[in-house]
Amino acid sequence: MSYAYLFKYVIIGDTGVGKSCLLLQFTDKRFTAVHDLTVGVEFGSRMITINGKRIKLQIWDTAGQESFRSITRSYYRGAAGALLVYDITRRETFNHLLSWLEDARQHSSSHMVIMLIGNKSDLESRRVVQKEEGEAFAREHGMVFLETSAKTAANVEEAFLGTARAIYRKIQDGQFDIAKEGNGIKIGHQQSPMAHSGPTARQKSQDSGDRSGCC
Amino acid sequence: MSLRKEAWKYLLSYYSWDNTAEENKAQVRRKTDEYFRMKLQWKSVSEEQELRNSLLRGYRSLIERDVSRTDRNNKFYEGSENPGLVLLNDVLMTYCMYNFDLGYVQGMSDLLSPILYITQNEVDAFWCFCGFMELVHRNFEESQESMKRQLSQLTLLLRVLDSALCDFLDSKESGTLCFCFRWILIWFKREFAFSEILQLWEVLWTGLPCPNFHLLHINELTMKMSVEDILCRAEAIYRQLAATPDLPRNVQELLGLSEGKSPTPSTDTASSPQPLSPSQAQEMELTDSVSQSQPDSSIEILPTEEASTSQSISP
Repeated sequence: MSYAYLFKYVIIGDTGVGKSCLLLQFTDKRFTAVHDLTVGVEFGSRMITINGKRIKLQIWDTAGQESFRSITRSYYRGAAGALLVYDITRRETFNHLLSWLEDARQHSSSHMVIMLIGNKSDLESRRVVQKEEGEAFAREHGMVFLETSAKTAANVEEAFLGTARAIYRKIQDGQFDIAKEGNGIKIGHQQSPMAHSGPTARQKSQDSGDRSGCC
Repeated sequence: MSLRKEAWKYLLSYYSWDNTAEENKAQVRRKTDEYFRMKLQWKSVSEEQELRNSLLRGYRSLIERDVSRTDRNNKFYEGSENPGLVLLNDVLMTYCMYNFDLGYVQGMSDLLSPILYITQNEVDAFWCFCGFMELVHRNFEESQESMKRQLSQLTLLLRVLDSALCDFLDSKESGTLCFCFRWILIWFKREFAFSEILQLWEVLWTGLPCPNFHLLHINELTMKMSVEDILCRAEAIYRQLAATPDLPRNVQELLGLSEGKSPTPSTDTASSPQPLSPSQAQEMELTDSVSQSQPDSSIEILPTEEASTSQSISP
């Protein structure tokens, strides 16, 4: 299926906060209580539409354990968006946000859009992180904030789509140099009016004169 | 099944090939004591004490979380009251005491699960798991050097075996093969049916026919081919490489071919146990093994439409 743009996302955050469940809810519209833990990185994708443009989201779901950080870091590069997830029922996952954020900012393109997600909003009775705390943290660090439930699907669409809209706005504002590599955005052959003249499908990138050399 | 249960103790160095049955029995007695001594160490840490031990607390909560996310569709681990879950938990916790520096790292539960399933015994499972970890513990170290090295070794092999595929992956920004990370870390555990993993692992444990044999399995269509077939193909790839004149030196070293051309295990594996030979060697069409591959839908890594930019995402 053709698309105007492809955006690469990463989902990051402590282990067990619901990263894979958010992805599954977004791509398959389902929730499973029983699933295998994520080892390394797993992938999902879905086509969305923004302002009449078809956009493919290619989502990298990462393992949460600290031990894999040195691998996770290499995934940030070339991501246009990131969902930084914590669990509203576990304080420590909120406390670790700063370290995740620093890591992400340090290893990604400076324009990467990061959305803060407080997941498991269906578990209100077990809540230990107040919504206001999430909002304040997001405000302080220039992020958009949402509370979601991968189980009930509340706000899940909005989290992924909102991030995509923010990226799209940045492209239109010219903040993303989409001709440049490594910012997690690709132009499909369904050209948008403001897109530059990229090479056509199946054409090797070296055939194109208007871009810098690659690998 | 019962043969496998015994064979794995040898393959994973719990039993020694040179021991008499009597000596093995004595070994089991010693190792049983040692296991329960280490188990008691974490069992006897009080809640209050654990409040001051963040490392142990971290391992405990992570293991608890992961045990509930490991092979829960397998009869041995399904349901919430299954004794298999307690065993998985206890062996992993005890491993933290055995190797506290490494502790528990995600992926280990996947490596233990089949061992526990086969041995059906806590102590045997623990020591067999330790034997397995002896082979792969570097993959779990925080530096991830070993994983990075294997991924680059894999690139090297792929370059020799199928440079067109390599170019294609590069053009899709996947030249670093990071999507193979899981395959290598947990030895294809999620890529085959449980029953097939048992066979694949025991072949790999023999260290035959060459070091790094696991890397030759990778250019295959996961979840859609029989493990038997893949083992044959991997061995065929190895034999073809071994018979290739002018093979780059680093590839020769990787596969233990550097001292002469005979396909015998290198010193790396000299101490490995003897056979359980990986099935019949057949000469097969090398090209088939990769050209038939299609992306597995569960691991969609490539934007299939087109790529208008081409770049590397090397770490």
